[in-house]
Amino acid sequence: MAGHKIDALGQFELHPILGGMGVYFTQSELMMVIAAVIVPVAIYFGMRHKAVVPGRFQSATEICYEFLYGMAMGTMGAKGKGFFPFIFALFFFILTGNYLGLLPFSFAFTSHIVVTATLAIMVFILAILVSLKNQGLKFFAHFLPAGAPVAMAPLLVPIEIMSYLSRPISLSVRLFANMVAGHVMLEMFAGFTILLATGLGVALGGPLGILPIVLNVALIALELLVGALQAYVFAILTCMYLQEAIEH
Amino acid sequence: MRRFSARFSRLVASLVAAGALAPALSTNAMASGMPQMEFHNPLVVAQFAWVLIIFFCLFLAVKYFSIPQIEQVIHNRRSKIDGDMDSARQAKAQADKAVEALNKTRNEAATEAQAKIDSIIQETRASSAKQMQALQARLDKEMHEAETRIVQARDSALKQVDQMAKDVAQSLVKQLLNEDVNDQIVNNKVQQILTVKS
Repeated sequence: MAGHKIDALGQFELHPILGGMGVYFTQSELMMVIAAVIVPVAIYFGMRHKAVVPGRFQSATEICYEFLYGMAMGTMGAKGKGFFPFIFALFFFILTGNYLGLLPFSFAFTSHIVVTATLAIMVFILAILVSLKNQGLKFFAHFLPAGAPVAMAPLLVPIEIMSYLSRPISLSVRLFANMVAGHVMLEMFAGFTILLATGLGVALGGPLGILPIVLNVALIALELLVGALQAYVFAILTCMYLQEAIEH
Repeated sequence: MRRFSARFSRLVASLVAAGALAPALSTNAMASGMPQMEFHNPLVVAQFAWVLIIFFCLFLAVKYFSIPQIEQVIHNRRSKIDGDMDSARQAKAQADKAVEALNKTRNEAATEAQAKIDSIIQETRASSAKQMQALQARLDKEMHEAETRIVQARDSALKQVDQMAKDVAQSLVKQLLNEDVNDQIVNNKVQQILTVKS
């Protein structure tokens, strides 16, 4: 193998930019900043003509907005309108992060559990605060499912609490694992090409090495799907948690 | 379908990742373990604060800048469409009114025309009846006069017949008898016969 090894996880290492600028600023944060800039800038350029009959870019922007608005309102109801900007920002932050990570020499900050966990904990805490504000102490009554016999409480209440507490974990791990898996696969197949070319020689390994590249093209398509899907799942689960917090 | 594809992709991803991670974790000296899990690394942990800050900035930008921008455009479009619909509705109402007025005028005109036609027919009938009456009267009068004239003519003719009969009788008597006879006697006789016959 001529000493070549596939370093599937090295891509997730963080490197300080400009020496971290004293605040641990890495490529991950740079991508976050780019994502946070792209979203409003893209919307600004999409909507700047304010056309009654929208062009392509404006149409795309409006379709995104309508889609998210429909999803958020459909899940949370009219009472949840105040949370729509939060859902909107969350969805596009994750989506842009996922898609930025697909660009060559880029970095997917959503492949870091700290990032996804922070977002998930933020959602979790927000949902708890909204619940406490709306329901007061009744919020804790939900840990005993309605209609369940009181005798079952010692069993049910811990289960319910556990399931409630596992929400931020599942929310963050789902996104994190999907992104990591996708990027590891991309790296693995790209590595295969190099392994084939170096291990079998360019004459034989070169043509064979095309196969992993073809697979990588398909994987990029899959990652485009996964990236959008995970952003959607994160957003809709957030909507559902907030809906629970608003309604009950 | 979405859920299925999500599950499927996750399944495939985790299977492949498991295969990929195992050798990478065991044999790779460059990255021992997942860099994401190195929680003693301040670069990893610092992301916590950075996410909060950057996401909060994005949230503010979206809430106070992007969403109002989109909503304004959508709102303007909606109000423009509503306005256009309103003016279209008004135009339709006006057109309906105009059609109604037109129909009304036409009906009135038709009624008026019909009334005129009726009155003209009536007048014509009346005048023709009058003319007929006058004609009839004139004819009656003329017939009456003609009849009178005929009667007079007959009478006068008859008178002349009497005289002719008397003359014929006198001349016949004269020729038969070859002598003059008293005209008076002949006349009386003829008169007697005529009176008996008539």
